[in-house]
Amino acid sequence: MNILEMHNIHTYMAGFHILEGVNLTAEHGKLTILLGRNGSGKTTTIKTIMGLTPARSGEILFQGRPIQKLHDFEIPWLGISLVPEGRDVFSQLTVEENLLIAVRKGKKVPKQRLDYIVDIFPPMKNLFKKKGRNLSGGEKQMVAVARALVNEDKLLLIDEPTKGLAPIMVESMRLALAEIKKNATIILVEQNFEFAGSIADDFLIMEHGKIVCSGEIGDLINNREMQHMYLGV
Amino acid sequence: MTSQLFVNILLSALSLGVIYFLLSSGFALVFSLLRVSNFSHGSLIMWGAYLGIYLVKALSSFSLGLIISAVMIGIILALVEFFLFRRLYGGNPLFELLLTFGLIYILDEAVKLVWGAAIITVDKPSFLQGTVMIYGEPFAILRLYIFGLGAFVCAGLYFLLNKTKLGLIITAGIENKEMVRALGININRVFTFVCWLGGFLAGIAGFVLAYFNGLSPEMGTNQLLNVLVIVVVGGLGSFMGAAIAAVIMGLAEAFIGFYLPELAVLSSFIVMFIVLSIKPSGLLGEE
Ligand SMILES: Nc1ncnc2c1ncn2[C@@H]1O[C@H](COP(=O)(O)OP(=O)(O)O)[C@@H](O)[C@H]1O
Ligand SMILES: [Mg+2]
Repeated sequence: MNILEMHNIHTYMAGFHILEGVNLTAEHGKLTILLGRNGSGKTTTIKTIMGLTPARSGEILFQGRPIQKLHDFEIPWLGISLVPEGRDVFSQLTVEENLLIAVRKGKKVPKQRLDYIVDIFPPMKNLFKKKGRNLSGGEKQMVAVARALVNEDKLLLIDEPTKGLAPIMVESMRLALAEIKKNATIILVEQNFEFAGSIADDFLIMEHGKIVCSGEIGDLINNREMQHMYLGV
Repeated sequence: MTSQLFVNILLSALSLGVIYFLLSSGFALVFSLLRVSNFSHGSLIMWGAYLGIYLVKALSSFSLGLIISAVMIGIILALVEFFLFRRLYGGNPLFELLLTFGLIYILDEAVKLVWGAAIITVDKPSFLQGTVMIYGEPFAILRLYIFGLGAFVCAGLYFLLNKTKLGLIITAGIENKEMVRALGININRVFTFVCWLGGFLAGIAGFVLAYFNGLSPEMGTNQLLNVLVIVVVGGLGSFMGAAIAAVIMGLAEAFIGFYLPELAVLSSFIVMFIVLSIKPSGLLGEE
């Protein structure tokens, strides 16, 4: 079953035609990686799903329901969370507040979600009182992912979580995603093919605002020629 | 200078600072979240004064007059946000300038239609008349009252912005609106609320001002320059910065007024000159 489908999505930004007919599917319960060179339109695809850069035409189905006409602030309520490319942890808020502001129902982060978050990112337990602006890059990334976990959402859109991280942080992020994947469907944008290949089930490759290739990750891992052609690996 | 005199000037300075805080906080709050320079803020202050004093008389209640008028001024700005500002977001800033200047004319002329253009004196209620002795010097009860009100408003704003989820959303929205929306929050509603709050603060400020200066149709626009100077000194977009700048302005005006009376009218520009030469983005403004 597909949790998400995009059919012939066109998105414009500042008058530029960025997504030129994106077609993709993401299967329920799987981790799908979205690969592609810088500027190929991966972030725009994610933002278009979230309604932040709304599609001008085409259809987006979430669990079979068209969502492309919804307002950006309505989309998370369907059970979709975003971990944005720039992390976007609020610098004036504490880590605790960064999580709290993401809670959609209720007045605090449910205890069981908090435990789950600390389970996945043990260093988080010492960060709650810290302001966002005082976090290191790796800590910010942890908080950004944790923020997407407070609501028990069905689909997580995670945009380049390893960008700029030290190798040791990359490894702990890999372990965390492997854990998170047990309970949620993930679409992961990643440039680091080695990282992505080790945890993904399916892949999508983007080029010039289109998906040019997709399949099961094993097919890509075994196909050096394809890797070379699309990813320059 | 005797220490008694010093304390007296200091208290006057601080109450002036509190008035400046009340005058500028609404503008600063709206600007910091919406990035709209609401030049009609002064006219809302004036409306708060006229309406507040009118209601005090009509209802024979000082506190009801204050609260109801402030709530209503808030509603005016919330409606302006909902029907007018909202069409301008992300557009040419010139439109915003034209709109808020247009509002000045409408609000100022409307006050003249209702209450006339003449200056109206305002009688203090009996409990605000007279002085108390503080540190051996007389101090006007009205100023003491301003302190209390300022402290109350300050504490309320602090609580709202730091201790409530709505406050977290406002603080987060000042920094990054897109991420707030991506968390499923309808930030347009928050904009409307913040405009209500900005108008509410303008209403309180106008009410307080009326007891010092009386009522005149120019009273608000006369304060607009002070408000703009405070917001620039505090750092555009920084609400806390504006609060600190307001107190500094009060101190500067009172102390420069005492030592160099001929420069008193320029005191706010002297502060602005000094602060901006050291830090061009203002006290708490981002570089
Ligand atoms: N705000 C914008 N206005 C105009 N063009 C943009 C904007 N943001 C991104 N682009 C362009 O859109 C293309 C796709 O960008 P993006 O989706 O960020 O790519 P990726 O995430 O794959 O690196 C790039 O060519 C980029 O220059
Ligand atoms: Mg990107």
